[in-house]
Order: sequence, then C-alpha cells, then structure tokens
Amino acid sequence: MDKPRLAVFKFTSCDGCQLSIPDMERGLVDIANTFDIAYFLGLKSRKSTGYYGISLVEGSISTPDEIKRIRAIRENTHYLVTIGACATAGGLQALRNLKDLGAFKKAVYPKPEHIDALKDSLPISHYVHVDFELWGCPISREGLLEVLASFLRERRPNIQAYSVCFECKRKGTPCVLVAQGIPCLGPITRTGCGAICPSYGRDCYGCFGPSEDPNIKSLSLRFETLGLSKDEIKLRLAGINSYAFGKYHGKE
Amino acid sequence: MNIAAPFEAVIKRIKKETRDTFTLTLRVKDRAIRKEYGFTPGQFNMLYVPGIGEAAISICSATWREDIRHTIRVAGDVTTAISNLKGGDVIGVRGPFGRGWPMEMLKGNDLMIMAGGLGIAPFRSLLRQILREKEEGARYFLLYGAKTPKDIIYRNEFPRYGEVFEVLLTVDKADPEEYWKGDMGVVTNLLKKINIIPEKTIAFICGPEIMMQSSIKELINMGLSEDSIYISMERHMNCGMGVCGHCMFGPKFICKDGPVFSYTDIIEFLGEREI
Amino acid sequence: MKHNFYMEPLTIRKEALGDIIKDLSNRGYRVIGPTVRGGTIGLDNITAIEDLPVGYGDRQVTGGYSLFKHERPYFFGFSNGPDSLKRFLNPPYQRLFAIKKRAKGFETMIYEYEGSPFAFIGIRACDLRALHILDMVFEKDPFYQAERKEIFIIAVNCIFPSNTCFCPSMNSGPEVKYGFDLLLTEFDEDFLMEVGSKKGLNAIEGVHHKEAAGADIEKKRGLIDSSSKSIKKTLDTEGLPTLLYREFENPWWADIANRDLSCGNCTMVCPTCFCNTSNDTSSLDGKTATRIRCWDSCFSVNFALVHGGNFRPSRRARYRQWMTHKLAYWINQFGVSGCVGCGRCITWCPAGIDITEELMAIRISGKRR
Ligand SMILES: Cc1cc2nc3c(=O)[nH]c(=O)nc-3n(C[C@H](O)[C@H](O)[C@H](O)COP(=O)(O)OP(=O)(O)OC[C@H]3O[C@@H](n4cnc5c(N)ncnc54)[C@H](O)[C@@H]3O)c2cc1C
Ligand code: SF4
Ligand code: SF4
Ligand code: SF4
Repeated sequence: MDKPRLAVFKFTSCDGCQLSIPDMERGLVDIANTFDIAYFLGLKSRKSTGYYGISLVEGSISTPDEIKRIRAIRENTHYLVTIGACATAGGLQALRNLKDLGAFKKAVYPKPEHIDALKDSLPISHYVHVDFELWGCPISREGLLEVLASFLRERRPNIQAYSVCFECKRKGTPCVLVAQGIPCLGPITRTGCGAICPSYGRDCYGCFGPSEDPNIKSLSLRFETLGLSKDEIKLRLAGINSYAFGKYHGKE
Repeated sequence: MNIAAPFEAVIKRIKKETRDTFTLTLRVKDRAIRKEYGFTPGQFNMLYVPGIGEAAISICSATWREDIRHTIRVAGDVTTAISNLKGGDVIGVRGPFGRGWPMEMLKGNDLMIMAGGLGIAPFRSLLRQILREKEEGARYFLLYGAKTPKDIIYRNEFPRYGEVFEVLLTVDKADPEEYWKGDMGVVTNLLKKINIIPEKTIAFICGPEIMMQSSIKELINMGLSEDSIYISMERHMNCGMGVCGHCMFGPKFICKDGPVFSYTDIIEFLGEREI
Repeated sequence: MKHNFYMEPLTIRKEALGDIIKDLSNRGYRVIGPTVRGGTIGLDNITAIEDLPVGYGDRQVTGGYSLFKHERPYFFGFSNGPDSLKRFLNPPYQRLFAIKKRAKGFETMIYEYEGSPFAFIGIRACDLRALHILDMVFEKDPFYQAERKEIFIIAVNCIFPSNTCFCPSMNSGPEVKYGFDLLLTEFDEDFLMEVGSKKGLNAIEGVHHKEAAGADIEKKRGLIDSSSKSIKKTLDTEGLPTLLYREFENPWWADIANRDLSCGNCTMVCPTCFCNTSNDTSSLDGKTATRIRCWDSCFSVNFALVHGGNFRPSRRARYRQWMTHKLAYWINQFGVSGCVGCGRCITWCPAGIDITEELMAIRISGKRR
C-alpha cells in the first residue's frame, strides 16, 4: 500500500506547533516511515503538490490571501486537521478581534496602508470544513501522534475534551485552586497538556481552550471570592484562546 | 481466563443482510474456549478490532452451534472496521455478557416477540431455539417492523419461522417499485391484527426506546400485566462487566443486570428525561 | 458488621510505628501512607516515619483546604486528603493488555499483576467502608482483585475530623470497627494498638509493646466520642433511595447546574466512584496496540454517548446522575449507600457545591412541589 501523503501548512502563527514534529525525534522517524511527507517547509524545501491524505494546518486566518490559500488546501486534502490554538481558535492574535484593527496598525506600522489584514483573526473552521481540531499552545506530541495513528486506523482520535481537573486528579497533583486559592482555569479548560502547570504549583491559563461544557460564569464567581475583579477575570480569559472562551463568555 | 482481555475468533463467513447490515459467522480459535463457550439468547459479546476498539453486539446464532454469529449494522468506528474485515481475518471477542431472555417464562405461556429494526438480532437465537423446542399448545407471534422493505433482516428465514410463529411484518415506508404488499406503519399497529389471551401471553421487545415504550403501552392496554413484559435495553457500553459505569440506567447496569429487563424492574426509570 | 479484634489492645511508643513500616518493607510490601505534597496531605510511598506529616493538621471547608501545624507532633493530626485507596487498587491508568499483530490474528499480552502487595498506613473508617464497597463493585475485575488480595492495612481512629466530614450520618465512622490488620488510636504520648488479624499479629512480632491499661481503653472511647460530637455536618438519609426517584424533574437540579463546572473533581476524589473508560492506543505502524483503562466520570459529556446521540447532554442531568447514583442507585445496586461521608467531594469542589446541602435543597423543594 502507498504511504498516505502528509502535508503541513502554516498560516498566521509562531511555528511552535509544527516544530513539535521534528522535535519528536523517535516519533519523527515513525512518521517518516508511515507517511510520505509531501509538503512541510519547516522540514524540507521540496514541495510536492497534489492531493494530500492528511493536512496539518497551523495558524489562524488573518489576511485575504490566507483565505484563498486555505480554500485551495481544503480542496486538495482528504482529512484536514488544525493544530494548535491559532488554527483552532484564532490564537493570541485574535485579541485584535476585541479591538479596532486600524488603531493597532497605526500604532505599530509607519505605513499602515501597506498592511493588508482582515479585521479579525479567525480559526480555520470559520472558512473551511475541519475534520479534527487539535487544541493546545503548543499542541502535545502525544496528541499529534494519536491524531496520526487514528487517521491511519480510520478511527476518531482518543482525545478528550473534559476539564484539566480530570488529569490533575488522576496524576495526584494537588489542586492549586482549592489548596492555595490560586485562580486556576483548569476546571473550564480542555485536557490534553498533561496538566503541566498545576504540577508545578501554578495555575492553568487555558492553553488548550475551553472544555466541552465550560461554566465560565460559575468559575468567575469563584475567582471573585478569591479577590479578582471582573476586569481581571476578563483578562485571564483573554489569552491564547480569547476568541474561543469569548464565545462562551458572551453566552453565559 | 481474564474477562477483560479478548480471545481470537476467525471470520468464517460474511453474509450481507441489507445495505448497511451484515452477519458474521465466527469460529473461536482456541479449542478449549470454543468448547466452554455457552450463552443464552439475548446475551451479547464485545467484539474487538485491535487498535480501534470494542462494540457490544448481540449473539444471534443458535445456542447449540459451535460457531458464533453476529448481525452488525455499520454505525461508527468499530462497526465500520469490522465491516472491512474479510473471511479468514481474526477478530477479538469477549463474552458472553449480560442476562438474556427469561427462557423459563416460555413454559406454559404464549409468546409475543416485537422487534424494531436491528432489534430483531437479539431474537434470532431465541427464534431458533423455539423452532426446535416449541411448547405444546403454545402460540407464538413475531411482529417485526423495518424502515423499508430493503431493511428487513433475515428476510429469507421468515418462511421457516412462519411454521411456528404467526409472523407479521411492517415497514415505515416503501417505494412503489418495491411492490411491498405487507403492512405499512409502526409495529404497534400490527397488534390490532392479532388475537391474544393476555393472561397467558408474555412479550419480549427489542428496538428503539420509543418503539418499546409505545409497544408496552399498547400491550398493557390489551391486558398484559407489567410483569409479563420484557425488553432489551441499549446504552453506551465500554467494559461489559459492570465496572465502567457507562451503561448505567437508573440503578441498573445494562451490561450485567440486562440487557434484558423485566418491565417492572425499570418501570420507574423508563421514559425519564436524560436518565 | 461485627467487630473484629484479634487480641487485647496494646500500647506502643510512637516511634515503634517506624519499626513496623521498616518491617513491612522488608517483608516486600509497598508501604503507602499520608505525606505532605504541594500543600496537601496525599497518599504516597513511605519508607520511614519522617515521611509522615508529623505535626500537621488540615483545615477543610467547602471548596477549600489548607495545612497548619499543631503544637504537638501528632502523627495523624489531620483528616482525609484527596487520595484514597482507589488510587492504588483501581489505578487512574490501568494497562489492560497489549496486542501484537501476527500474520493471521494477534497475540494478547495481559498486564499481569507483579509481586509486591500494598501496605496502607493511616486509613480511616470511612475509607475502610469505601474499600468494602469497591470490593463489591470490582468483584469480577481481575486487575482490582489481584492488587487487592494481599494488602495490609494499618487503620487509625479519626480524632481530628474536618469540617466537611459527615461519616456519622453515613454510619461509617469515625470509629474503625472492622477491616484492618492493625488499628491505631493516637494519644499525646503513645498509640493504642489493636490487632485485627493474624497478619497484623505477625507484623508486630519484633515491635516492643505492652498490654494496654484499662484507662487507655476508656481514653480511646472518650476521644472517639468527642471526635464524633465535633462533626457538625450531617446528611439526612431519611427516605433514600426513593426520595430521589421522585425528584428527577425537581427544578433545583437546574439551579445546581448553574453553579456546577462539570469539572469532575468530586468523582475523582470520591473513594467509591469507580467509573472508567478503556481505550485503544495504536502505534503508527499499526503492528501494536495497547488497551488502557483510565478514570472517567459521569461528568464527562460523552460518558453516556451512543451512536445515535447522548443520553445525558446537560449539566443538570450529569449532576443528578452523580448525586442520585451516590445516594440512591447505589443502595439498589450494592445494598449500601455509595457515600461514606468522607467529605472529599465537598472540600475539592472548586465551585463549592456541597452534596449534603444540595440533597437538603432537593428534599425541601420536593416537598413544596
Ligand atoms: C446490549 C447491546 C447489544 C447490541 N447489539 C447489537 C447488534 O446485535 N448489532 C449491532 O449492529 N449493534 C448492536 N448494538 C449497538 C452497538 O453496540 C453500537 O452500534 C456500536 O457500539 C457502535 O460502535 P461504533 O464504534 O461503530 O460507533 P461509534 O459511533 O464510533 O461509537 C460511538 C461511541 O459510543 C460508544 N458506544 C458504546 N456503547 C454504544 C452503543 N450501545 N451504541 C453506540 N455507541 C456506543 C462507542 O464506544 C463510541 O465511543 C448493541 C448494543 C448493546 C448495548
Ligand atoms: S460522595 Fe463525597 S462525601 Fe460521599 S464518599 Fe464520595 S467524596 Fe466522600
Ligand atoms: S457518581 Fe458518576 S463517576 Fe461516580 S460511580 Fe456514579 S456514575 Fe460513576
Ligand atoms: S460538583 Fe463541583 S467538583 Fe463536581 S463536577 Fe460540579 S463543580 Fe466539579
């Protein structure tokens, strides 16, 4: 059987997610053995075009040109996976969605008229159908390997969407919110990182985006009793996944 | 044997039933396990495809056969993976699990079987059993509803069942070119066409939950008592042996207390929202 | 449950506990006991008495936990932390088996239990009841049973219960009455030790002890009584399980759902919650797969998902499942309540939801309806 063709594409992002692939060492060898890595500028400059079995897409859509590009990729891809917070939720740069882009442009660039940017930085799924969204900033290697393994076996990835708390409790990590009164986003954040931050005694800041059924209002009330102001709470949610949390925050 | 780990079975035959449903005949590889394996109609196995996962599937072969049969509808990952297997391939099996149909109730009673869609599968081994050991003087009814004529499973077996059962079929809808001459509408409609002696009739039902609920209602209207009605329930199944909690339905574990329940055992919970 | 004491009570010096720990490790036990971890008292490997949280106490409130230091170096001056026996007997990640593909079929390698049994130190009455409950839940589970079979238990009578405890309501504490090999009651200067089994007797062979004075036994009674009296939280079990079967549509469930985070912490810390999910992971080359069973919870949205849809899509239904299972279904399933009154779910709920108060609210609003 021919190896499935794998492509990795980058949009508005920092490269951190795609770099977790070469970073995998052993995992990379396995990937290279099972996939034909057809397009991956972060790894090799030879571009092989055509139809891809699986495309991993990093980065958000923030320019008109990127809209065209993602549509073309979708047309040439069987199974499209977004990797990371940018591609899945608009990323840190989606903070601009909350404010006036024009003002930013003027403040940052000497000639703002040369900047051809969309008003909002939006997730890939806003423009094209996405088969699976892998959350995280950056994504976890285990998560990515699971996505690839499940793609090969034609099953859904075993990737859960419940809270980080599940993972803390399984690992036996003491709860920083209950035991130390630290405003941890874990209870409303999607699991997948391995609950790293609380295991170092600090709070989760939501890298993996909202959990499957986040009750932001209730956690906010708890944060208020810890002494956070409403604005401080808003700021805590206005991070890497601001756009995704914002969707729920508006609703609740 | 560790009941959390599967044993191997070889696919001997694959028979297409309908466009999305097929029947597998399995031969357990290990001779000792094969000899030891026994079940009652209505029980199920967990079928396993390595690297994909497991699915709960009713056993539909005759109890005295050494080979195990399963009728499977393609639903999601596991069932699709099973449908991609070929004759000679190996599949994992755990089981049998659960409590099947209460065979002791057949003594001295008439039996009404009501099946909706794939709900006919857990009855097949019971049907076989009754063909073989029917009670003198007892009456047997088989009421079966499918979506369309094309979705009728075990179609060519019905003439045989007809020798013992009064068989009534119905479909939700049929294309004109299918020349369907039978009934159309829900299974419960078929009840109007038969005469039963409610005091000596027991009913076994399997199908979508709504169909089972309306059947129960109708049967009780006809005079059946609550404790003469049995239904086979379905919930998310993961371990099959009562330790994962997924299949809980009220206080019942579908996998070990069921899937077949006396209606009286679950009467408080059936029809409750989001139980 | 009958009292099971193997012989007359003894008195041992506090340091003698160290000898017992050493002796148990020498006999090949993995000794597990309370130890300070990240501002909490968890259960972990113990090699010497220095590993125990000597002198520590805990303050537990709804949704809050903190440690403090007693003036005296009590060995067991605290109440239950987030961990319970289930972490060890039904581990959060249990590998079930590995699969290796062969040309025709596959080879299954079951992860068999290997060797060293656990010895648990400082287990309380509520957790012994929980153990008894898990024994019933996992009666047919080969993995649990293998871990469970040979365990050794040093229990303690609970002298410093926390604000979230309500074991008297559940009839499960604070006094230990059964299910131990050795039982300690901590006095200021020494331990009163009771022996519950032949195994327990063997374990103290080399340990210096003397027969306890009658006054010590009185003292134990007194401590347990005052401990019991100091527990103010109650759960009214009157009318359970049927009470909750009438309240499936009580509007209060929706009120709880407004506060509930669906975070699952309560189920994870509960010593009797057993739910799990087994999943396959497969290697990229498809030649091997491993099936792992991992703690899950009825609070996870997909817990009751089937192909055709989800049986419990709302938080309302998921919280209701949790409370109704613990306090009602369980009684039908295993003949006892699934709640042992340990209070963990109350302490560790980030939203400060208290099962005893919510039951009360359901009871009251149910009456009004
Ligand atoms: C007692 C019992 C007997 C059954 N008998 C048969 C039978 O004879 N023939 C047949 O075709 N089907 C039968 N089913 C239904 C069958 O189990 C599901 O269709 C199958 O599990 C779907 O798995 P999947 O991976 O293909 O679907 P997916 O859609 O990929 O899986 C859905 C998700 O739900 C989980 N799940 C767990 N239990 C179920 C369930 N009951 N239904 C759907 N998803 C479930 C899966 O593990 C997965 O997480 C039976 C179910 C039960 C409970
Ligand atoms: S329900 Fe709460 S109080 Fe009861 S045993 Fe579980 S964690 Fe303890
Ligand atoms: S309360 Fe929920 S997690 Fe706990 S045992 Fe019951 S169903 Fe499982
Ligand atoms: S009751 Fe509390 S701990 Fe349990 S899921 Fe809800 S918020 Fe989390």
